[in-house]
Amino acid sequence: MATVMVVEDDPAFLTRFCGIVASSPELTLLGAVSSLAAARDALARAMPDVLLVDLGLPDGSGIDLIREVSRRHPSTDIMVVSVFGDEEHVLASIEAGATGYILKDSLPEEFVALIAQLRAGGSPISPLIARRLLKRFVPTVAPDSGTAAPEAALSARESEVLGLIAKGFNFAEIARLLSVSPHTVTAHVKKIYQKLAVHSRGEAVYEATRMGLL
Amino acid sequence: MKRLAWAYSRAALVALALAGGLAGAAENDRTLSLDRAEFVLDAATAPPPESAAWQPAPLPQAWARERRGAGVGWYRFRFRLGEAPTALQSIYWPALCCVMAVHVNGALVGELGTPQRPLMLSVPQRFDIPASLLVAGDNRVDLRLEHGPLTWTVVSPLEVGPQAVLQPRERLRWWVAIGGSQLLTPLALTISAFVLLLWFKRRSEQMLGFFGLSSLAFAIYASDWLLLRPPIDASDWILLQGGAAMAINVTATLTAMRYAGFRWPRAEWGLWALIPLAVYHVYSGFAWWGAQVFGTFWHWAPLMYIVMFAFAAWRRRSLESLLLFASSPGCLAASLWLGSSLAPVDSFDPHCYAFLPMHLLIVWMLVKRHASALGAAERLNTELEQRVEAKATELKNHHARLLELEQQRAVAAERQRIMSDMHDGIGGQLISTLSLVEHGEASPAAVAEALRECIDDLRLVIDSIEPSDDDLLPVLGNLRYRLEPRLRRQGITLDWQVQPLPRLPGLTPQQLLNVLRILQEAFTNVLKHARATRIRVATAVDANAMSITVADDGCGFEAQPGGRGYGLANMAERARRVGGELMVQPSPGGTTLSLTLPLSTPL
Repeated sequence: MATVMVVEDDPAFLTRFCGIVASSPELTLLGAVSSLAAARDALARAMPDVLLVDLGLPDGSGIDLIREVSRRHPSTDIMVVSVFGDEEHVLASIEAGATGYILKDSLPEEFVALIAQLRAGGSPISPLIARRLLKRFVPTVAPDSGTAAPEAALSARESEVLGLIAKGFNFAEIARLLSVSPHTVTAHVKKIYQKLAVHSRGEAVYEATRMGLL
Repeated sequence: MKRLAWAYSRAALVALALAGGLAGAAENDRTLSLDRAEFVLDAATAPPPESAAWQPAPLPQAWARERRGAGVGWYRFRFRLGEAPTALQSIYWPALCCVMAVHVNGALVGELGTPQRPLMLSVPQRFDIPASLLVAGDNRVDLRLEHGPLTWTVVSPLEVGPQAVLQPRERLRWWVAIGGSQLLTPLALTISAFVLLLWFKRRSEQMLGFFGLSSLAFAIYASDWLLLRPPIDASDWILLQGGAAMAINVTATLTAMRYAGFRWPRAEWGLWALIPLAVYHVYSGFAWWGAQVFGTFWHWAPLMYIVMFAFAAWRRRSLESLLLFASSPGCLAASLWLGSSLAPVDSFDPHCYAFLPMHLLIVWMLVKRHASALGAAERLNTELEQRVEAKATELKNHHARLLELEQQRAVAAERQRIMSDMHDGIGGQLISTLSLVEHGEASPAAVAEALRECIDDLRLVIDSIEPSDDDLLPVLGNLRYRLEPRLRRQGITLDWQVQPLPRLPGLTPQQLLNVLRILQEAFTNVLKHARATRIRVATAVDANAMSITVADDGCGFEAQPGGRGYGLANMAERARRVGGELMVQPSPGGTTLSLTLPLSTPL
C-alpha cells in the first residue's frame, strides 16, 4: 500500500489520474493539487510515498518542488509527469532528485506498474537518456569538472548496465546478459539515479563556487 | 716659514741666472739655418774632396726640377761656430727625401732608405750628434742623396742647433706633415670595411659598394704616410699606389653619379678601365703615351666627381648636397697648389687632408640615408600592422555575418523540416481522424487509436531531434522502449538481437526520422495485422552497409486485407530517401522486413 500525491494543473489528467489511483488496490491517493503553492501546503501536512509532479505549473517549475522534497524527504519517490518524456526535461528532473518519469498518455495498468517498479527501486531509463547519462558521467572535457567527479563516478558495472540500456536492452535481458538477478540490475539503476543527483549537486556547488556565490 | 725661505732662495737663483747667464743662454739656444749648399754629382760613398766640382745650390731644391737625371749626388753644408757646443746637438731638415746618408765633419751620423725601399715622401729628418763632433771654427755636413726613377728627391734648408730646441720643431712639423695623415689609413680602412659589409648585405645599393671601394683605395693611398717606406719592392708598390690613386677618383665619381641619380653603364665601364690603364702606365715606366693623361690625372680626374656633385647639388638643392659639392674640389685644389710655383718645393703633401672633408660628408650622407630608410621601413611596418589588423577585424565581421547567415539558413531548414514532418505524419493523421469523427464513422476506440498514433509519431519526431551522435542504436532502443508496453499487452515477445552499429557520420534528423518511421510502421503492421507471438529485431553490418531486420512469426501479409500495400510503398519511398533499400519477404511462417543503409554515403 503506497500513498500517492499528484501535482498537475491539467484538470482532465488530474481526473484521469485520480480515477486510476482510486481503482488500484495498491495505491492510496493522499492528495491532488494543481499549483506549486498548494503542493507545498499539502506536503507540509502529509508526506506521500510517491509524488508525481508536472514540470510546467502555473506558479513555477516543478523542478523546484522536486529539489525541495528530495532534500528534505529522501524516502519519498518522485516521478515526473511528462507529455513526451523528452530527454531535456527528464534529465533536469533526475538531477533535481526525481527517480523516474511517466508519460501522460500511459494506460492505467502501465501507470500502476511503473509506480510499483519505482517503489521497488528501479525506474526504467530510456536508451536515449541512458546515453546522455553515460556522456555526463564520462566527461570528455575533464580538467574543469574534475572536482565533482570522484564521489559520483559510476562503477564499472553501473557503466556496463547503462551502456546496455543505451543499446535498447530491458532490465530482464541485462540481468541475463550479465548473469545477475533482475533485482541487482534495478539496484544498479537506483544507484545511478542517486549518483546523477549527487553529481549534479556537485556541479551546482562547483558552479556556485566559481560564480562567487559560496 | 719653510715655504717662504724656499721662495726667497728661488728668487735669488733666478736673479743670478739673469745677471750672469742671459747672454750664454741666448748663445746656447741659437740655431743656424743654412739655405745655401754646394752640390756635386759623385757616386762615392765617402764625402768627395774639396777639389771636386762643387756647384752652389740654393735650397730648398727638388732634384727632378734641376733636370739632373738619375744618379748620386752630394750636398755640402758649411758653418762656423764661435766655440765648441757643450749640449747635445741636432741637424734637422724640415723636408728630406728619399735615399740618404749624412756625414758630419767626415763622420757618418745616419743613413735612410735604399733604392729598393726609398722613403715614399719627404719627411722631417733630424739627426742627433754628440757635441764633441762639432768644433769651434769651420764645420761641415755632407748629405749623400741617391735619386732614382721612383723617388722624389727633395732637400730643404738645414737647421743646426741644440737638440732641445730642434726636437720640438721637428715634432710639430712631423705631426702636420705625417702624423695627421697617418691617422687616416686606419680610419679609411674601418669605414671601408663597414660600408663594404653593408653593401655585401644590400647588393642593390651600388653607391655603398662604390664608396666602400673608394674608402679602401684611399686607405691604400694614405698608407704611404703610415708606412713611409714601401712594404714590398718600390717598383711593385708604386703600381698599387698608382692604381689606388686612380681608383679613388673613379669610385668617387661613380658614387657621385649614383648620388646625382645617373646611370650610364658604358661610361661606367670606361671609368673602371681607367684604373688598369693607370697601373699599366706606371708599369711602363711612365711611358710617353700616358704622360699627358696619366701623368697629370690628379688635375683632371677629380673634375669628374666635382661635376657630378655639382649636378647633384643643382638637382637636390639640399644642404647636404651643397656641402658635398663644396668639399669635392679639395683634392684638386691640393694638386693644383702643389704643382704651382706658389708651393715651396719642400712643402708637405696635403692630399690626405684635402680628401677628408668630402670623404666624411659621404659617410654622413650614407648613414643618414640608411637611417631614413630604416625609419621608412618602420613606418611602413606600423602601417602594415594597422592594415592587417583592420583586415582581421573586417574578416571577423565577415565571418560573424557568415555565421549569422548560416544560422538563419539552418533555422530555415529546420523550420522546413518540422513543417514537412508535421505534414507527413501527425497533420495528415489528425485530419483523417477529424473527418472520421465528423462523419460519425469512428468508434471512440478507433479515435483513441488514431490519436495514439499521432502521439507516437510526435514522439518519433522528438527522438529524431535528439542529438544522435550518428549512432543509430540508442534511437532504435528508444523505439523499442516506447513500444514494449504495447507489445507486452498483446503478448508478443521481443527478441532484441542487436550488435553495435558503426557510426553514420552526417546522419541528419530528417534521415533518422525516416528510418524511425519505417521501423515504427513495421511494428505497427505487426501489432495490427500479423497476429504474431514473437518479433525478432536484429542488426547486421558488413563492409559497406548495415541492415536492420524486423522479423515476425505472424500470418504474412498476403493474408491481410487492404492498407498494407500502400504502407509498404510509403516505407520503400522513405528508405529510398535515406539512400537505403527496403526488402520485405513474406512467407507462411512470418514476414521479414529488412532495411539496408549504406555506410559510406548516407544521403
